[in-house]
Amino acid sequence: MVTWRMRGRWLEALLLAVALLPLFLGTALLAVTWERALGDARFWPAYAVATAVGVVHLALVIGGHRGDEVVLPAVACLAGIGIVLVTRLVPDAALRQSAWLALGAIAALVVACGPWDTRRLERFKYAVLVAGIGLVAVTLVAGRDLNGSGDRLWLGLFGYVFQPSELLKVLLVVFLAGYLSEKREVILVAPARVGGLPVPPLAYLVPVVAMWGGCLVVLVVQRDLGSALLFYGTFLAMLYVAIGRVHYVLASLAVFGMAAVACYFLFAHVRLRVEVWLDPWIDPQGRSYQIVQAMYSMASGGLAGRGLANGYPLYVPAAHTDYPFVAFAEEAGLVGSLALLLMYAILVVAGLGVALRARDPYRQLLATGVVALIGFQVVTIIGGNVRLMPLTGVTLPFVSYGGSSMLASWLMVGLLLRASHEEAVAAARA
Amino acid sequence: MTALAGTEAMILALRVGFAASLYLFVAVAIIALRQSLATASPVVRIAPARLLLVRAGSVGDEAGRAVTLAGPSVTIGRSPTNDIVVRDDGVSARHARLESHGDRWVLADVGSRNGTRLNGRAVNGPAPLSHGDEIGLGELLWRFEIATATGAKR
Repeated sequence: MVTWRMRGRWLEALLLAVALLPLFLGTALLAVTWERALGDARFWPAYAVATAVGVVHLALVIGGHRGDEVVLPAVACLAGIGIVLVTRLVPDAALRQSAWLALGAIAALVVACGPWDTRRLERFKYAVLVAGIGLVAVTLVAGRDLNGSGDRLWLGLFGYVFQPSELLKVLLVVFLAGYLSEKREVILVAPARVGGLPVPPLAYLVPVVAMWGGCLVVLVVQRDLGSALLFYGTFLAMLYVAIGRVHYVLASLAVFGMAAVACYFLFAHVRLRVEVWLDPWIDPQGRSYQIVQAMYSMASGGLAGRGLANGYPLYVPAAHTDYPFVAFAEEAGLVGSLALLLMYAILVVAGLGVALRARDPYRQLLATGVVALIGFQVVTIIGGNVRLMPLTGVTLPFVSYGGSSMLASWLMVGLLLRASHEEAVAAARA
Repeated sequence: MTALAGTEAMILALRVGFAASLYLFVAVAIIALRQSLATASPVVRIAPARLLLVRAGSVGDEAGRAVTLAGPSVTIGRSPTNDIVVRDDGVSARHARLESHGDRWVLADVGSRNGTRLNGRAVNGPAPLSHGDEIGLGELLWRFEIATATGAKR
C-alpha cells in the first residue's frame, strides 16, 4: 500500500509533473513524425501551456492557497492533451488557443486567490441573474452567425468574437447556488394543500418554470440544443443536491422531456439532428456527412490508434471544435480515449470531494454546480461524438478549440479552487 | 534504411510512452484522490440547538425544562412515540416537527388540532428558525436557542 503522505501544494507539484508528461511526450511524437525540431515555432504554444499551468501552480503556492490539490493537475493534463491535439489538427490556430488558455488561467487565478469572498457572489445573486438575462437579450438582438449554420450564437466585441452561452453557464451556476442554498428549507417539508391537492411551494415552482422557459427560449430562438440540455441538466443536479427529494427532480425532468418531444415535432432543425443521429446513411454526402466521417475516423483508430499525426482525422469537418474526441480516438485509439474519459472522471470526483468537504451550503452547491456542468458537458459532447445521443454544439472542456469555452472552463475551475480554499480556511479556524 | 528504422522505433517508443503517461497520471491522481476523499467524511451535520420551556401549562413540565435537539428530525406531541413528549391538553398527539437542514432548523406543524405558533403567528408552511424564536404549542411556549449563537446572526 502506498504510504506517502504528501499534502497541499507539494502533492499538487508532484501530480502536475506527471500531468504534463502527455503534453511533452505528445509534442515529441509530433516533432519526430513531422520531422521538425523540438524548438520549432509550431510547438511553442504547447510549451506556453505548460508554462501557464506552472505559473498558476507557483502563484497558488505564493498566495498561500489551501484548496484542493487534484483539480489543477487534472485540468493541466487535459489542457496538455488539448493543445497537442489542436497543434496536430490546426497548427496555425494553436497559438491563439494557448493565448486563450493563458487568459483563462489568469482569470482562474484571480478568482481562486483574489481578495474576495464567495459570500459576495451569494449576496449579489440577483445581480448575477440580471447580468445573465441581459447577456441572452443582447445575443438575441445583436448575435452573429459565424459558422453559417443560421444560429446567431456569437457576440462581437472590440474585434473579438465571444460565445455568450459559455459565460452564461458560469453565471447560471453562481446564481442557482445562491438561490437554492437560501430557499432549500422553504422548498422542503410537506407541500401546502389547495383544495385538497398538494401544491409544491412557490420557491420550487418559480425556478423550475423559469429554467424550463429559459431553456426553451435558448432552444427555440437561439436553436442551441446543447446549451439548453446542459443548463437544465445542471439545474436538476443542483436541485437534487440542495433538496434531496427525487420526486421533485423527476417531475422537473418529465416536463422537460415533454417539451423536448414537442420540439422534435415543431422544429425542423431539432428533427434533423435526431434523424441523422438515428440513421446517418440517409444522406452520407450531405446532412450526415460529418457523422459518417466521424464513424470512419474512430473506427480506423482501433485499439491502439494510428499514432499522433499519422491518421486522417481532418476528413471530419470541424474536427477541432465539434469532434475532438473522435480525432483523439483515431490517433490515440481506444486506449487513449478511455484515459481521456478517466481524466474527466478524476476532475469530477475531485470536485465532488470539494463539495463533500464543504460545510457551507453555498460553497457546497457552487462546487456541485461546477462539477455537474463540466460532467454533463463532457457526457453531452462525447455522447454526441460516439453517436450515443444526437450531436449538440457544446465543446469538450479544455480540449476543444475555442476561446470562450476555454475561458469559461477556467473560470469554473477558479470557483472550485476558491470554494475549497475557503472551506479549508474555515475548517482550520473552527 | 537504418535511419528510417530508427525513426520508426522512436515513434513507437513515444507512442507507448504517451499512452503510458496518460495512465500514469490517472493512477497517481486516483491515489491522491483516495487519500483526500478519506479525509472527507460526509457526516450529517446538525446545528447544535435546544428548546427551552419558557411558559409552562397547568399540568406537566415546569418552565425551565431544556431539551437538546438531537436531529435530523425531532417530533413534539402528547403521544409517547414523539421525541419530545409533553402533557398539555392543547397539544395534539402528533403536533409539530423540527428538522435540521445543514446549519439551520426548520419548524413545521404536522396537522395539529390547535396549530403551532412561531413568535405569535400561526405556522402554515415550513418555517426556518433563528436563535431566540418562540414556539407556541397549546399553552406551552418554547424558546429556540442555538448553542453557539452569541445573539448576533452570522
